[in-house]
Amino acid sequence: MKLASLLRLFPLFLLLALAGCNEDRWSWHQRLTLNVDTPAGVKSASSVVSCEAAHLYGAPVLPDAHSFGVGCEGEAIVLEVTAGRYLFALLPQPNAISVFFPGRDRTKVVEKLVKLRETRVLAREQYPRLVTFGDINDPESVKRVDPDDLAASFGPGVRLKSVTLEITDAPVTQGTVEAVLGWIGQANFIVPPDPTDRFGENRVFGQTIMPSDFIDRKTLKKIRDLGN
Amino acid sequence: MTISKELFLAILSMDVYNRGYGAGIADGGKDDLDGLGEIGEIGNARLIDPLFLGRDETALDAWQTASFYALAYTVGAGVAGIDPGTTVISYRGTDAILNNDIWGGSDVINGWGVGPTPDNPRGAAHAGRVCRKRSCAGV
Repeated sequence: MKLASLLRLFPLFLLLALAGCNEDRWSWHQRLTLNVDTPAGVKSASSVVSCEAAHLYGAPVLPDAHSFGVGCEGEAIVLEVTAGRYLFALLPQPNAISVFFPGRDRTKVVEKLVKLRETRVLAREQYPRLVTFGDINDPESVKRVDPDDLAASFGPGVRLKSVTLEITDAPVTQGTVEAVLGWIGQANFIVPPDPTDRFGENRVFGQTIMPSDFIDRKTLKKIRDLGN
Repeated sequence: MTISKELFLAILSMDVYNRGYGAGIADGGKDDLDGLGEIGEIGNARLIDPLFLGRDETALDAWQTASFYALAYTVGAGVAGIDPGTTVISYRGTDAILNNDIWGGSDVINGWGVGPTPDNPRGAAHAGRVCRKRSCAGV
């Protein structure tokens, strides 16, 4: 088929793709909280993120198109466990639909989720990824933290007591990550890739995470643009 | 035993939907971040690490805004019609109709009917950049 003929049909393709497309959206805020036992007592820190769910239906000609998705914006939790030693709970936060309505049809329960004002204690498999830095000013000193063995990272007597998720009206947390990780806004990697490692066989932990695991991509871009 | 070129390329064209942001399936639980992951093997092909190709935070943001996603593979032996060592790039097609903060920009707006130019930030230009990062053999 000639290109000119295809181009003449383009508006029809567009009409078919968009006709009958319906989208429902829901939004909410959720707060994730870490509670850590330390020799100085229990320490807690949390982060509120803004989340949105979208359900797209009715598109007749594009079976590969997404039909349901959830996305959140905000930042990681920052908890100062001992003086100058920080524990971070990375983005994304756990999917609230999975936490509050496990196993249920997402499109049917999201309407109930946004009206909840409830807190749940997370199961172990729902925990976010936890990291710390040997030197807070050196991104390449990032280390994974085992949620079952915080003492290995922070010393004796430090233990993850619980992680909770709450649906809330609280405002989105801003600025706490950047206050501790001053370099995050201008970083394109946490640990740069090895230019000789074509297949990623020798990836170290720091190469598996990105700055947008600490602050959502949209906010990072604003920070970066302000810094330029 | 060799696999036909057409079948092999069809497998890779589907594979790219199951890795990276907005992946269609998961291997680590319901909230899997990157589907099947962005390194490893599938059949006779090895994935080239996107970090090795220079995809950094800025590029990933631009990709998601344009609803663009691609992976590069190095083909091994056993694929009829494709020499071992050939690089194959697989791009996602239309998987986002409307602009959406959750799964990225609209393919209809950013991809359909748009040709690549060096400064065009839309999908086809990202495709060109992925190919130029490493010398690509056309298949």
